[in-house]
Parts: sequence; structure tokens; C-alpha cells
Amino acid sequence: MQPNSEADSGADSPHPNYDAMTALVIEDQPFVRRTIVQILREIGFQAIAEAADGAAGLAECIRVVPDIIVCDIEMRPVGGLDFLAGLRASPDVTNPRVPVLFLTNHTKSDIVKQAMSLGVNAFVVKPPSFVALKGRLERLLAPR
Amino acid sequence: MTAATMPDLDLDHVAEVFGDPDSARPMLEYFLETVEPSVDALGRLAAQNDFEALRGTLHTIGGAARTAGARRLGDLCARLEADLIDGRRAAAIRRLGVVREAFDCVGGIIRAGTIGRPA
Repeated sequence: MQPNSEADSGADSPHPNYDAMTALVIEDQPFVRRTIVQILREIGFQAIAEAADGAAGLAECIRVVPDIIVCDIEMRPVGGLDFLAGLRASPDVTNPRVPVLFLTNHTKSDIVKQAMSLGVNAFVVKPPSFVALKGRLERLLAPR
Repeated sequence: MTAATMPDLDLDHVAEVFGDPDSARPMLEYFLETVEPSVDALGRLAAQNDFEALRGTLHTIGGAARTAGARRLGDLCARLEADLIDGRRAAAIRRLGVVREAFDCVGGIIRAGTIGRPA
């Protein structure tokens, strides 16, 4: 896997209007989750929902209708891959095609392939950084 | 760079991700608070021969450590996780004590309150 790779490439485009968007962070480790939330606030998000695993994440998707999801892969009881599969197939989520960015330690090709087949939009390899997340989010959320 | 030469806490990373020392310290203390129970659990999981849970816990500690800039701890956890995945269980279990030692080292740095101050 190419670190910090993305599924879509984008040309130069206006910056996303982050303060009008809602982000959802799904990560089971509380300190890592708080760090991601802090970075997203620095990027410009005001509305940030949180969940500690994939099942809670799916419930939050229904409740808050996020514009972007930053999600860990390895979580218990429901991990990121199962979350993504459930999201893309859900009849209850307003936008099942919402962009999902996996933030992960995993670089194994089989996990990457599975994530791509489930419709992930981008990866960022941990540790999360302002520069890496902002770069990916700009390309995923820029107005077209 | 080997685990032995990696910094216990990468201060450049801390500054980049968490900002000035006054901003960083509460976050790093939260790192210690939320990771310590996982470090405490390693011995119990090994004694129970719950190797998948042990691997998952090392993965979690490693991810948090890398996020905090605790590079030696993060690297150690990644190596032990790889040992478990590759079937080198005895080797991984023998080195679990080093995870505790590395966590205590970074904890000492954070709790000493010297982040960002000249040595």
C-alpha cells in the first residue's frame, strides 16, 4: 500500500467549507480519538461526532448525517471493515456513499484490497498529522 | 534506527501535533491515562494464552504510542505484534516486560513536566 494514498485524485479546487460540514470520528482508543478530533478542529471543522467502534459509528451516521468519516480499521467489537460494509449497504443511512477515510497502522495488502472493494475513499497511515489529514480531506471534500 | 536508539518521546512530533508544551501536556497525560490499562493487561492476556487479544492490545498500544510520539514504545509494540502474527509467541511473551519499561520511561518524561524545556 502507498502510505497516505487515496482512491480519487483531484485537480486544484476551492477549499472545502469545513465549518459548515459534520465529521464523524470512529476510533476505539480514546487518546487517539481525541487527537484526531483536535486535528479536525484545527483544519476547520466545528461539528465533530465521535464513536468508539463500528456499531456505534453506524448509529452516529444515522443520527448526525456526516459529510466525512475518519475511521480506524482495528476496533472491537465491530471494526472498520465491517462498519464500511454495513454503511455502504445500509437502507437507514441518509448518504451511504459518504466519503470514508481509514486511519490505520495496517499496511497489509489484503486489508487494503478489502477496504478498496468495500468502497473506502482514502487512507492515512498513523500517526495522524495535520498535513496528511488536511491534504486528503481537501481532495475528498473540495467543491466540484 | 533500532528500538534501543529510538527516542522515548519525539519532541518534534509532540510540537507538530500538540503544539506548545502547555497544550501538549494534558494530551500526553491523557495518553498515559488511557494506555496504562492496556499495558497492565498484557501479562494477564499472556498468562491466559489469549494471543489474539494480546496481539490486538499491542496493536492498540502501538497506535496510541505512535500518535503521542512515543516512538520506542510504538516500535516495540509493532515488533511484538509481528512476532505473534508470525507464530513467535514465546519470543513475544519474553519481551512483554520491555513494553512496561518503555511505557514507564515515556511516562517519566511526561510527568516530570520537562517537555519543551532545555535539558
